[in-house]
Parts: sequence; C-alpha cells; structure tokens
Amino acid sequence: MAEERLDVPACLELVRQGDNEAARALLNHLYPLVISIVRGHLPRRASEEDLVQMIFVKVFSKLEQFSGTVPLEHWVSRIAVNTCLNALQAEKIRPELRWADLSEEEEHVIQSLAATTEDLEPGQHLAARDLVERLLGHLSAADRLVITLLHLEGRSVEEIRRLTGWNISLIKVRAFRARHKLRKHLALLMKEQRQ
Amino acid sequence: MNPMDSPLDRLLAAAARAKRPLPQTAPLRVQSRVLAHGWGPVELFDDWMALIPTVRRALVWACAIAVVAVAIGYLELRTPASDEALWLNSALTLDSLP
Repeated sequence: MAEERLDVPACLELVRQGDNEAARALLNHLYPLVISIVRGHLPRRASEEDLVQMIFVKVFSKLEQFSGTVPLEHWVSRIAVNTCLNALQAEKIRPELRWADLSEEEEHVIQSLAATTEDLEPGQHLAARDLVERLLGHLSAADRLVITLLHLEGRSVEEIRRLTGWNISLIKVRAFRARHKLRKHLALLMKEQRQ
Repeated sequence: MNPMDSPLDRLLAAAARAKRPLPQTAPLRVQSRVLAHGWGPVELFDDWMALIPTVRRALVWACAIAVVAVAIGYLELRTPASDEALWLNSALTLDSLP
C-alpha cells in the first residue's frame, strides 16, 4: 500500500514547509491509527469526525514541537489519547444502565455469562463490545481509558504509561478500581436478569 | 484467576475480540476540514475544555466559602452580646452624656 511506503521524515519536512499534498498524505497515513483510538475512546455524545478533526488540527499545529526522538505514531497516539480523555472528562452525564435498555443481543450475552463459565461465542463478540461500552459509560474518563487500553486494546502497563504520562502504580490502582466498578455494574445487570 | 472476576473477564475478552473494520483513508470531508485549518501554533478550544473541571471546582469552593461566611455573620448578629460588652457599652453611653 502507498501509505505504508510513506517516507515519514521527508513528508514531515514538506509539511513544515507548507506543502498541502504532503499534509494530505501524512493525514491519510495517520488516519487508521487515529480512527482506531477515537473509536475505542469515543464519548457517547461526541461526533467521531469532530474528534478526529480536533486531533489532526492539534497534531498539525504542534508539528513544530515534534523532535523525532520517538516514532511519529507514538507522538500522535499520545495526542489522540489525551484529546479523547479531555472529551470524556467534559462528558459529565453517566446514565443508569438498566436491563430494559439492553438490546436483545446484549441480553443474550448477559444470559450466557450467567449460565455458563465458557467463553462467549464468536457471534456474540460485537454485542459483548457494545455491552462493555455501555458499562464503561458509568466510569470516570480516566477509569474508562485505562480499561479500554488495558483490556480492549491489550496494551501493556508500560505502553499505557507512555501514552498517558501516568505512573505505573497509578495505572494499576486505576485499573483495579475500574474493574471493581465494572464488576459491580455487571453483577447488577446479572441480578436483574435473574429476576 | 479470581472466580468472582470470571464473568467480567469473559466479557472483556469477548469484547476485545470484536473487530470492526477500520477505514484506511480519511474521508474527503475530514481531509478538507483539517487542511482548511492550516497549521501553526493555534489556540485550541480543546485546551480550554481541559480547564472546565478545575474552574467548576473553584466555583464550588468559592460558593461554599461564601455560604460559610454568611452563616458565621448571621450567627454573630443573632448571638446576644455578652455581659461584659453590655457593661462596656453602658459605660461608654454614660461617659458620652453631658
């Protein structure tokens, strides 16, 4: 693919000189990375495109500050994660999640979790993801971010430290507390299902 | 593994396996909007958004302090003056009489 062969340092140099086509190529090169982060951390009411635009405007406006000591993708990821975190913090409303709010597929996921100790079937994975996103809506922005990075994206604690700037103990404590809250909300849903 | 975590672990593991296809290039709309902004150091609305929780907390604290100050003032007004204060007050009044 053309995007994979992009000569990033040369492209960056052209962008710094104001080359519009180089900027477009860089944007397309970084887009899959940015969209995957945005989709993983999108606040409920936010528009995906608005958040992507905000991240790219920030990336381009701070491009002069990029020293090249870390790969560009790491630097952009950090900007994307922090922008998503700010957007999540601005979203204050955390609605109560009730059994009646769940879709049929999500109800099946809860029933499967309650009925067996087996892993969920592949056909239930998307519904499980939707359910997790609903449950994450109850957590604070930081808790939500740490669970998404750790459990949904499978990143290591060290990677999370690099992305967020939080120290390792803080990440572990946040993950522990966030899991505790998630477990509590899931237990409530499972209890409602039994009734 | 803690058996109490089992449903949550299974749910998170299944959610992590859910793969949604990601677009490989930015939609033209996004490209145009981003490139129309140009680049260079600009003030970003997002930076100000990050200050909102701090400003909100400061306002709450300011209100709380104001309420406490009003309450203390009110209590001061309601509390009858002590005997010593009354005695001093009457002494001053007597002194000021011709």
